[in-house]
Amino acid sequence: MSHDQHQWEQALSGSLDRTAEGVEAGSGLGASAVIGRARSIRRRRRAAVVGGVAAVVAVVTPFAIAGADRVGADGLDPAGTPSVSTPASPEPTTATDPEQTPSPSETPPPGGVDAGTGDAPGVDYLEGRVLHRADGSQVRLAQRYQQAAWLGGPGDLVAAYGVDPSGASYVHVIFSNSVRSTSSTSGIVASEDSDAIAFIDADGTLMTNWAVDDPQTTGEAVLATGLDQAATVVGMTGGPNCFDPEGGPADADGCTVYVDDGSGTLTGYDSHGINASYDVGVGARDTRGRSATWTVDRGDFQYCTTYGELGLDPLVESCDLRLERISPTGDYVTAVPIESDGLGAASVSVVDRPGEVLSELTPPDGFVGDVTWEDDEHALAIVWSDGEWTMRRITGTAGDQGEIALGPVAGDEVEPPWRFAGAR
Amino acid sequence: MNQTRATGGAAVRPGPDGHPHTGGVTARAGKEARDAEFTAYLEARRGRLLRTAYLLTGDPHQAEDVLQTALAKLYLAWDKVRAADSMDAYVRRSIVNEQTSLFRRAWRRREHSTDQVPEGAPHLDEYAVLDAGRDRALWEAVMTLPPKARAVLVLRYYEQLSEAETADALGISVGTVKSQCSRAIAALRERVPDHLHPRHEQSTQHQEGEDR
Repeated sequence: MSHDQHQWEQALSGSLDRTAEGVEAGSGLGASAVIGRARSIRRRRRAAVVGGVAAVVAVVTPFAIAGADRVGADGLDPAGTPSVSTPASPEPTTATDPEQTPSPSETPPPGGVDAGTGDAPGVDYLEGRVLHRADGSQVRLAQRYQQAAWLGGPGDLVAAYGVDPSGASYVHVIFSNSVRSTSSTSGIVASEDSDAIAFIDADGTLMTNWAVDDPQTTGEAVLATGLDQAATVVGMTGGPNCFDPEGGPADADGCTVYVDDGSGTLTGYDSHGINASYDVGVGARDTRGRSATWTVDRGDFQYCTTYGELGLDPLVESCDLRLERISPTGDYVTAVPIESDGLGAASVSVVDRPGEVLSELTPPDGFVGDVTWEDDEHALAIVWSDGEWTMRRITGTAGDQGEIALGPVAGDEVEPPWRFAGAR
Repeated sequence: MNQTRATGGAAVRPGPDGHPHTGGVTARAGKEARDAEFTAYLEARRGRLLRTAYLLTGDPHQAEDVLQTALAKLYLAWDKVRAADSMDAYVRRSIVNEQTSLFRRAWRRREHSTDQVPEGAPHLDEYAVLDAGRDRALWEAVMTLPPKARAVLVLRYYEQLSEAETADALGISVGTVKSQCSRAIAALRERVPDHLHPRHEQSTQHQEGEDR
């Protein structure tokens, strides 16, 4: 850091202290006023849920039966078979505690034009401690995680990334009767078939893991060492066996893991030991094969994003939208307004390769959280609107406001009831 | 000896001290303890959190409104957030989110007046006069920044959060925090009059030291 920069930071720190020090709390911040406001918020949430439940009782039963058929079908520890039940009480279950949130198969679909139109999500997602898999089965985990990937194999392996209350983060590989824990700040990224994961451990080692015949261990290949702690994993292609197919074991597949070093360089580390680095401006958001989306800084607070093949001229560039998730075929990307910050974006769009905005979902009085692609034509978005969370399925069809795959669930906008499980 | 018996339809279980407790009494005691904990937190932290909200909004009344909503949501989520010992982080995220919502809904002006010191600004004593010119100029320059850049500066240099903590609070990447900080300070460098730049203070203090 330059001396001049340090002087400005010190001056700013002192100046902000002095600027704010005369501000005093008024009566609106007394305990009674705050708790009164909390009760008002709670009443509003309950009112929202009562309306939703009353409208959809008739369609709960067939929906729940379909869910029950799938649970435990693969012999996994089921997360509690969803009961076939009509909500007996209009008392809401808030999403602030996902442990108490009904499973999606118990959650009534919404009323209105979207009622009953949505299939269950075709991607893995987390709800509290439960990993819901795309095939409808469920795995109950011992704790909550930020990300998880079902690696399969004879041991039904799950890899997960979590953060403990002290802020320490780690990757768990969960075996049938034990857990292997590794410190990591990078998060995990799953391969495009979700059968391998990669992460950077606390020593800066880029590690890959996949399921093998022995249920008590994993396949492991180190693709790089000495990486910076600011580095994050962005994408993974190939696999699951990340050993070099040329000169490695017979079942080696090879893989490439893309790592953003935190300062504008994206490097693909592959099983051959060949590393290719690309300038990605501020940083990369997603990769798919050799394609990526990344953000560039045009100066004076103008940020633009690009989508294209790494090392070549971009296919699409936008300074109004932030291009994010690439569809499996690469024909589309999802995008949000470039100015979005805080907990989410004001809208989500589907953009094609020429850069045309095909559709836009703008939730009233709300925002869009995580987005992922479900298949070649459909993306899923976690949406907060009018005091409720939904998971919506969006397409590139103009005017598409998204059929509802999950929800609505009342809750707090700072904590969505679901997370997409992996990095895809 | 532990016993359970029915009285008037309600199960009464001996408590740990051997005295019977009903579920209602236990729940009430739990709520009272919870409210007491929350009130203690509120009294200890509201001043600091209000000042953060003020720096984010630029308006003391809006800061109080935004903070009241954030604290109310904290109250509703108290057990979970307290268990994770992340109360301040929760409130900060709520403040930023609420501020962003207000911004999106256009309930507030996008342009801030820069020719008035906002109500609630500091009362300057004689020892602060030397800093007053720069404080005012810096504050006015900070208020010209886009909301996200301003939030990054406030969390980094007032709340003294790390880059990772700031990124987490704002839902952006560490790389974006770094670039926003760098850009924001570059903007301040351009927008604050040259004679109020910090390097002049240091050279003045150095000169005064030599004179003495």
